[in-house]
Amino acid sequence: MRNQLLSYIYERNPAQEKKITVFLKQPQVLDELDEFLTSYAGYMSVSGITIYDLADAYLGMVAEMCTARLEFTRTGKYPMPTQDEAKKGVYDNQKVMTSFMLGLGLSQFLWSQHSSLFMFYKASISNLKDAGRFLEVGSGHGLFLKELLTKIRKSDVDVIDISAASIKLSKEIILALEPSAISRLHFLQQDILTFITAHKYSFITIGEVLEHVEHPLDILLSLRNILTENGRIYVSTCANCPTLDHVFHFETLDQIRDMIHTAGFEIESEVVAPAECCSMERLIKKKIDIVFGAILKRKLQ
Amino acid sequence: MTVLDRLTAIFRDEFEDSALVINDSTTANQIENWDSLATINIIVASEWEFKIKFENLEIQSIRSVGDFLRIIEDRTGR
Repeated sequence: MRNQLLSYIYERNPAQEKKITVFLKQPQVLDELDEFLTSYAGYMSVSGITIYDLADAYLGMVAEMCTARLEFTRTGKYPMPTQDEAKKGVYDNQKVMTSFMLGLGLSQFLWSQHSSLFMFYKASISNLKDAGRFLEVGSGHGLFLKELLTKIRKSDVDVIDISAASIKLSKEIILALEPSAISRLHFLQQDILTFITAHKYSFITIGEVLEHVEHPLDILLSLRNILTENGRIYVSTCANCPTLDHVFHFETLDQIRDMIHTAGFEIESEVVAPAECCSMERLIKKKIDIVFGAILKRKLQ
Repeated sequence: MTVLDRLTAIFRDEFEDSALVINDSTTANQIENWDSLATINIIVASEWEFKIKFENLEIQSIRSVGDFLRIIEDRTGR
């Protein structure tokens, strides 16, 4: 299955072959990809998705990202001007969103920066206590949620996403890959800023959401109110990472860290993964995508 | 200066290699860091240098210096 997928991608986009081949030379990476494809096959078969559909979704995502990057390099601005337009054009469009999420899910196993983030998440949740209530904001392709559910076997998990397509995809993936967990999951299609709850969460996952909104600080502040005293938040975002639905442009990693501190959090651990392996000077000069992930805790008053 | 001379300067800046030599048949496979990001940077630098505009879809089809030369010469009428 792996060979079919990669040959199809390489034939249609030789630049991807160059990038992916280098990444797949790293130890364990091929095993991770094979494990993902084997496990994902269950979901794909139920949903009528072929390996070529998955490859096409990935290639479509790459093309969209290249177009956004071209516009960004020309103008210095992300092409999507507002959150509302991203919602209309992407999140509310079942076909576009599902395809984009499938492609993004696969990129966790083909791109070093996304793989680093996923590894960081796995390591960060490896010692989580299965107690309290959990929240995921923006479940996207559902793979982080699936990973959380392999560690958290008893507790309830609330999942909020603004996109119906994303919720549908996450639900289908969990039904196919972690069916016993579905009764503990509570999906809500909602904007996190309008989310009112009596619950306090011991762990919140908010991966790749902040760059999709106009006021990311407001989201971090709202999460502080629903986090337990000793709770933790996994957050990830990126700097200089234009794509079809990114709205807020973090220009530097320090801008992200400053916002986290302003929202009343300390960074307990973090991962920084650039899209290209080069000097920080070149990353800044060429405005190359840098992915950032961190575990946050409340800052002492 | 020829189009190739001006394009060479752009390539040298992008790949931070002042001795880089390119010609019509140089492909992405022959330059280690030539990926889609580099292609985009070269496109935008070429747009400034030659006062032309590339089509978005051309990102996927450019695989050699020759591809760049043909598009630039076509748009500038040289």
